Formats: sequence, C-alpha cells, structure tokens
Amino acid sequence: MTHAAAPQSPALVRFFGLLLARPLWPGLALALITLLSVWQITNLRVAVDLSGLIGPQTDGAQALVRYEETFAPFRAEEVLLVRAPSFADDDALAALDDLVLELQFVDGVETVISLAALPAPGRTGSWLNGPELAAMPPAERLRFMRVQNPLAAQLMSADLTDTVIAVGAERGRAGDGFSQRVLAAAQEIDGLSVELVGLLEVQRSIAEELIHDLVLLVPAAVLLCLIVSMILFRSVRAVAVIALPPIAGLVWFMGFLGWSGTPIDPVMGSLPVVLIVLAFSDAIHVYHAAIHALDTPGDRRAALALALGQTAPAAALTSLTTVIAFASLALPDSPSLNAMAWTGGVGMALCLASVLLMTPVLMWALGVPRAGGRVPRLFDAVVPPAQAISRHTRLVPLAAALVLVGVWALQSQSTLGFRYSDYLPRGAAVTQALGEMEAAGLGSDRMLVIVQDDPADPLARVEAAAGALWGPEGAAWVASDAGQGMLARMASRDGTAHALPVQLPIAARDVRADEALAQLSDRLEAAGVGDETQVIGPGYALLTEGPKIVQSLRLGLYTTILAITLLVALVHRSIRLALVALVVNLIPILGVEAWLVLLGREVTIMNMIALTVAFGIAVDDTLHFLNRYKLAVGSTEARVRQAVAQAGPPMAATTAILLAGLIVTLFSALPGLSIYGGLIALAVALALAADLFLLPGLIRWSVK
Amino acid sequence: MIRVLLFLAIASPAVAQNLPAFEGRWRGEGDLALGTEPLQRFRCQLRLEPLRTGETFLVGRCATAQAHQSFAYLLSEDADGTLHARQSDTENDSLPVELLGTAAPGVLRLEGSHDALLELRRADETLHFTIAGHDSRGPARGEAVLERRE
Repeated sequence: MTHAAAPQSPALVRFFGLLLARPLWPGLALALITLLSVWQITNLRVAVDLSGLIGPQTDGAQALVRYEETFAPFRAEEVLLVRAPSFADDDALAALDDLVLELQFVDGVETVISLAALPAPGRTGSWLNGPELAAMPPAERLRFMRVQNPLAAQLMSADLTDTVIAVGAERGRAGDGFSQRVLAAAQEIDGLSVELVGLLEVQRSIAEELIHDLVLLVPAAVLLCLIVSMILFRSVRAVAVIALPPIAGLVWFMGFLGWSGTPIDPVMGSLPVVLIVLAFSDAIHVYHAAIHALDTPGDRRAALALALGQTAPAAALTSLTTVIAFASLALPDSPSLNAMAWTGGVGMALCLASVLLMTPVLMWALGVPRAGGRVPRLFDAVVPPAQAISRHTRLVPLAAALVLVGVWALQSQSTLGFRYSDYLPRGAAVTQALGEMEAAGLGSDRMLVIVQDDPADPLARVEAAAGALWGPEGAAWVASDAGQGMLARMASRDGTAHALPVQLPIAARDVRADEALAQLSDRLEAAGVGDETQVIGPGYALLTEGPKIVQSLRLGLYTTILAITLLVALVHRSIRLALVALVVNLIPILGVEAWLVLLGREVTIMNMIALTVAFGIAVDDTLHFLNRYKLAVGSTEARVRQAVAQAGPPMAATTAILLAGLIVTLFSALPGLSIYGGLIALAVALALAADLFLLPGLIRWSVK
Repeated sequence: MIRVLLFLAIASPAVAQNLPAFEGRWRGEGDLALGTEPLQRFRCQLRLEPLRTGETFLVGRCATAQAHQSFAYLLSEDADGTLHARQSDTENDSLPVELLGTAAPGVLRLEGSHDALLELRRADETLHFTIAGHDSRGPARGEAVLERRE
C-alpha cells in the first residue's frame, strides 16, 4: 500500500504534534468544557410551535394579521372531541349541556363554542335548549339542527355520536395549565368521553415524542455506532478514542442549546442523531489515517501528528459542506428552518472541534493506535470490485450518464406538497382522535373563508360562498332570518366582509393535506366567488406556505450544490474534478427524489431538508476520496488505485456507521423524523455506491 | 381589664358584622331571563373572602351555555349597615364600577346605575343569589340558589 506523499498543512501537523506532546492541560480543559456542557443540558427545553414553520412576512401569516385587524384577534383554543354512545338521548344531551356550562368556569376561559351556543332562529338564546325544539325527541332535534344550520352540521357528526367544542383562552392564559384545567373540568362529567384534539394538543403530543426521541433514540444511535465501531476495530481502547469525541461534541452542542436558551423543535429533532453519526464518521477517518501512519517505523507522535494534519483538512471540508447545506435552510422565510440553519452549523463546528481536539488527547491517554496495528479488514472487500470497475474508463462514464439522466428524468416528475401527517405522532391519542373526527365528517382543522361583500348586494357573495362551502342548505340558511342573525356575528368591524368557518380534513390520513382545500377552492371558483374569497387560518398558512418553503429549500439545495462544487474546484484546483464530484453527488440526491416519485409521494419540507443535509453528507465520501487522491503519487491510474485502497474501506465503514445511527430515526413516532432519517440513509448508501463504483472510473476517464 | 376594653371600644369604630355570614365558596344554578328570550339555564359560582374587619372580597362568575360574566367587588359595610361595593377589576367596563346598598342579617343588597342589582340572601345552608341589570338586549335578571362548597 502506498502512503501519502506530503502533509496537507505543516502548521496543522505542528499543532497536532504540540497537542500530542503536552496533552494534559488541553485534556483537562476539554473535560471541563464537557462537564460545563452537561450542566447546561439541564436547561435544554423542547418547544413545539408548528406556526414557527411560517415566517411573519409570508402571505399566509400576513392574511392572519389582516384578519385580526379587520375582524378580531385570533385566540389560542383547546378543541375537545366529545363522544357519547349517542347524543340522541336526553341524558347524553344533559351531560353535554353540563359540560359546556362547566367549561365556562375554567380559569382563563374566554369563549366556549359548542352546539349549545348556537342561537335559535330569530333570537339570541340557545337553540338546542330553547322552546322551539323542546317537543322534539333528541335525535330529531339534532338532525333538524344539522339540516337547518350548517354550523350545527360542523359541530355534530351525522351519526350523532361525536361533537366538537372549542374553548378559547383569554389573552396570555393558554398553555399546559389551561389545557389541564379544561380536561379536568371535562372529566367531571359522567357519560361522555372527552379528548383534546386541537393544534395545541397536537403540538404537546409532538413535544412529548421529541423528548422521547431525545431520551431514547439519541442514546440508541450512539450505542449502534459503538457496536459498529467495536465490530470494525475489535478494541475497547480504539472504540473509546473513536466514540468519546463525537459523544463529547454532541454534549457540547446540547449544552450550547441549553445555555443559549434555544429550544429543540420538530424540525431540529433529528439534528442530534445527524451530528453524532457525522462526528463518528470523521473520527473513524481520523483513526484510519492514524493506523496507516503507524505502518512505517518511526516516531509515533510525529506519525500521528502527520496523520491528523493530513486528515483534519478533509474532515473540516466535509464539515464545511454540511454547514453550507445547513446554511441554505436560512433562505426560506421560516423561523424553524432558520433556527435549524444556524444550530446545525454550530453543532457541526462543535463536533468537528471535539473530534480534532479530543482525539489526539485520547490517543495519548489510551496509547492507541499502536505501531503495527492493522486497519479493519471488514470492508476491504469493497476495494477489488471498485478497482475492477474503475478500469472501464468508457463504460463507467456511460453508466454514470445513463444513471444521471434516468434519475433526473424521474426527479423532474416530482411535485411539491405539505403533509400534516408528517408531524402527527404515530399511535398518539390525538392522532387517533383526529382520524376519527375526519371519519365522522367533522374535519380536523377549522379555517375561515373571508368573503369580500359586494357593496351593491352585500349578501350575494356570502350566499354564493355558503353554497360552495355547505351546499344548497348553506345558501338557504344565509338567506334565512337565522342565518342573517349569525352572519351579523361573522361580519368584519367595518361591515365590508364576512368570515365563514369551515371544517376541513387535513390531518389524519397520510395524504396531501391540501386535497380538501383544493376541492374547496374549486367549489368557490365554480360559484363565481373565487376572486372575492380568501381562505385563512393557521392550518391553511401551513398548507399553502409549505410548498413555497419547499421551493425555497430546493433553491437552497441548488445553491449548496453550486457552492460545494466551487469549493471542490477551489480546494483541488481542478474544474474537472469538481464536475466529476458534482455528477457523483447529484446521483444520490436525484436518486432519492426519483424514489419519492416512484413511491407516489411529493417532496415536502422534511423531505427537502433531508435532501439538503444528505447532499452535505453524501459529498463527504467524495471529499475524503479526493483528499486521498490528492495525497497519492504517480500516474492518475496509480493515484486512483491508491485512493480506492486507502479511502474505500473507511468510506464503507463510515457509511455503515451513518446507516446504523440513522436507522434509529425509523423508530421515531414522528413520521417526519423517520422519513428524514430514512431519506438521508438512502442518500448516503447511494453516495457510497457512486463514490466507490463511479468516481474512480470517472476520474481516470476525465483526468489523463 | 376595664381599661383595655375601653381602649378597644375607642380605638375600633363600631362596625356591623353582616358580611361574615356570607363568607365561603358558593355554587349553584337557576335561571336567567334576558330581554324577551326564554329562560336559560344559569349557573353561578361565588367566593366571599374576608379582608379586614368590615370588608369582604366578592369574586364570582355566572354562565349560560353561550357566555359567562365574571365580576369582582370589594364590599365594605358601615356601622349603620350601609354596604358599598367597588369593582376591583377596573378593565371590566360592562359592570357598574360602584354599587351601594344595605347589609342586614342574612341579606346583602346592592344597587347601581342602569338598574343594576346584586343581592344575596342567606337561608340556612343555601344562598339565594340575584344579579340584574340592563344591556342592549333589554333587562337581564339571573337568579340562582347556591350551596356552600366548603
């Protein structure tokens, strides 16, 4: 095996030489930083606010601001799904009435919207309990209300077993305490089953799962990385040198989040797993290089310093590419993604610092690797086929071109979308309840259709819109005395517009969230009020801004690809190498998008973040390969052979580590996170295949 | 001893002691008559807490299935049985800021502008509560029989 010709940077070699010569004080300083970070982790918190995906300047957010100016401020509300064997029963209706009254006494409550709150036609008092319906049996009463009043139909299911109650909180009173009081009040009532189902409960449920993931999945990812490292290196000391720096880097990062008061949100939830597996990958490359460096007899410290000095720039470069990928998340107007952009960068920097600073100290303390040690042979098997394929300098470019064109053609069929279900915890009570609500025809999210009135005929457009929302009965209701009375409550302050509520199924089924919304828009268009109406709501903002964020993320990905290609060209002073690297790294990214097309799934926010981060990671193997190619000596063919032999096994090993770590995200109850981890894992596997079997041949073909 | 009693008699003004009989937490139901609307089910919850001699804090909420109204008044009772109520929630402009009335054994009655009335009648372990006033929809009068909660 041929070794590196020259150190990458004499300054770095000197720095690592110094660190290996006097490691005690730096080691103590690193231990102190780690202890301080552990202390700061106690301040770490999880905060879930799905509206944080949407920036304040987006159309959806601005529409909400305009609504608050024109109509009334939005209030945070807890939504209750109340179930009875049947509400067509005097006792069940009495219990419902008791529940509504009880909720009025919850500390901090402002409004309680329920079936019992709907006013009777021609007056303001409750219709459900009024004299008009008193003679009717309960079933007849409820069915009559549903037919006569579209708002009643949205609050009570057709089979009369489910009803929805919205409990609005006073300004500044919403929160966990409020929800607990609401639930406690509801549980006082016998004969009814009550579950929280609103956006706030969804967010609480996501927060619970995030904490679960942090507590279980991150340690599981670390454990799997340890196991793979142990299988590879078969030495407890070697595994300690490889594993402790990434673990410390993650601790530093979590401590930083706690110290800076930056909460972890659903988008950021998988970041710890990504950081730990990437840091493990860097640590393995460094350790591999150190073993190689000790092959030649000589001064151990100098050889290790040389190995560290040679590998550090590549590790820094691979971290930089991932930082660039994270930085592209700053492009969309989305506070959550923007937070991920900078925290991802900080996390990468801390993990890299930990690997580069702590590894020499641990090598000194534990005395590994030793001279005469052997690199793991487990992945040596990848070298012969990679070498063999690289000899086909005509076939490989053709194959690469065909694969690239194929995945590109498929990728071009991809569509953008938003899936609310990506964020709903699998198996959670709220997810199940939302599914049942949708099945009962009660929808899962309340939106408002704002109708701009025609000054010449103020209610004409409202009637048309009501017909589109609720059918002919809705239009008839608007024209009736009862409807006119309710419409007065739905009017804007200046009386020029009306806000009609509509319940839409957007959440529970794993389908595009905007399906029902698109149908609603079509109906409004068909009713001739498409231009005079606007749908608004927090859920609507997510649905409509989601694809725009994906578009912006896609632009960020292209920018990342361009930036990294330029970086490769700059570092290796070769446009050809940069273009070859581009081809090799486009294949896994386009491949994953093509796979999504084959599965019939659209590109969502979480998918696009995964693709962006995956690109930053996928390029790592290429950079390590190019680093070895640069350090090798001889003809192009000889240098490629050396690079395959030296970089191939650690590339395969680090990919195994990455896959082992990322695989744990598949066990997250949050579909978005498991899809995220799964897609990155797929991209990393494809990247390894492209780097091993296409890159060597492409270099031999292009660099004569 | 006589000197001490004399001192106490001079130092403390003579105050009527009708408020303490109402102190505690109360809750119950009745009916609300609002304008020309049919009677509605009406539930109320009150808390009367002593502050200092002759003063009691009254905080409560009454509700129907459609809405609720909270109120908080500082009640003070003069020696002659005159009862003053001053709203402590200054942001609540839907209720009179001040009410004036009388306190007698078993009865507190307060009145204010716009036909406002707040009356509590104690009968054994129950409290008959009446709240009345006038708004855009016409006269409103709610009556409820409350029971002590603790």
